[in-house]
Amino acid sequence: MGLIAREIEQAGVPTIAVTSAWDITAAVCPPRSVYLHYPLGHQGGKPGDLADQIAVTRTALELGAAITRPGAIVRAPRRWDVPGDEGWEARAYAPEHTPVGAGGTPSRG
Amino acid sequence: MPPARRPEPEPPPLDVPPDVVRYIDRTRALYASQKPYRWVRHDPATEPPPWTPLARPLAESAVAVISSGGVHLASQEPFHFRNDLSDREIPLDADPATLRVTHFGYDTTDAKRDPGCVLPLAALRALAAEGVIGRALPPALSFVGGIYSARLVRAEVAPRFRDFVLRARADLAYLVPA
Repeated sequence: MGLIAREIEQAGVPTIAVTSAWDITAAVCPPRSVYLHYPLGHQGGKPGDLADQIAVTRTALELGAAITRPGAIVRAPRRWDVPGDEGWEARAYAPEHTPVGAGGTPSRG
Repeated sequence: MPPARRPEPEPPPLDVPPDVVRYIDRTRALYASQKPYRWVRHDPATEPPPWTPLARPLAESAVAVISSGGVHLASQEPFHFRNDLSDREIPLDADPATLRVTHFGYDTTDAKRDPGCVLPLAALRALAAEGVIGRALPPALSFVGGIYSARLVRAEVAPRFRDFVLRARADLAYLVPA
């Protein structure tokens, strides 16, 4: 998504990206990013929790709009506190917890 | 005989806070048996991102929304397994019951249950109603991230999405990866 952000921004439209993969975002370096410490697949917010989705989206837009340094990543003050999901960070994309369907072969075109 | 290709120098380590998940390292470990995927790197010092200041406050901004969560309408063709460069237009007021999620690269359990996890349409409508943003621009656009070819993203996907945002006369593009 970072490449897309750079292309849109280059064409004269500002972009804000919400991200939960700090390292990938830092590598691509899009103009404005807001980091959300949630598992991948939840950058819109928690499932079935519209209040959280509104808060996440509002925070991302407001923090993103306030960025003045190109390439900055700012942290959204939100916590993933879904019961039973404690320690999700250790399981995310760990070899013993391969994500659903992730059996494709990475290749470069 | 062509000269032996010198291995590319390793890019400098990324500046990453200690508590975040290091997805690049974990993906390398997951696919340890294969040729390492070369993630796109832009050194902020030599390849800084382009920069366009916001022309107006959020509350007056028309916001275009793009999600790489693989969301589509039940009536639309699902996404393919990998390297699918296509996109689907999603009405802003789509009934969540008509939305589907097809994506190979992340655990879609929650997104299938509530597509708002990766395409927060109801949240954006609420923020427009509250006046936090001027308005959300229809339609939202969704595609599948995890396109393994940066060349194809640069050549095909990014220009198409750029044109989508320009045609919509968006003041701001909000990008939600998955």
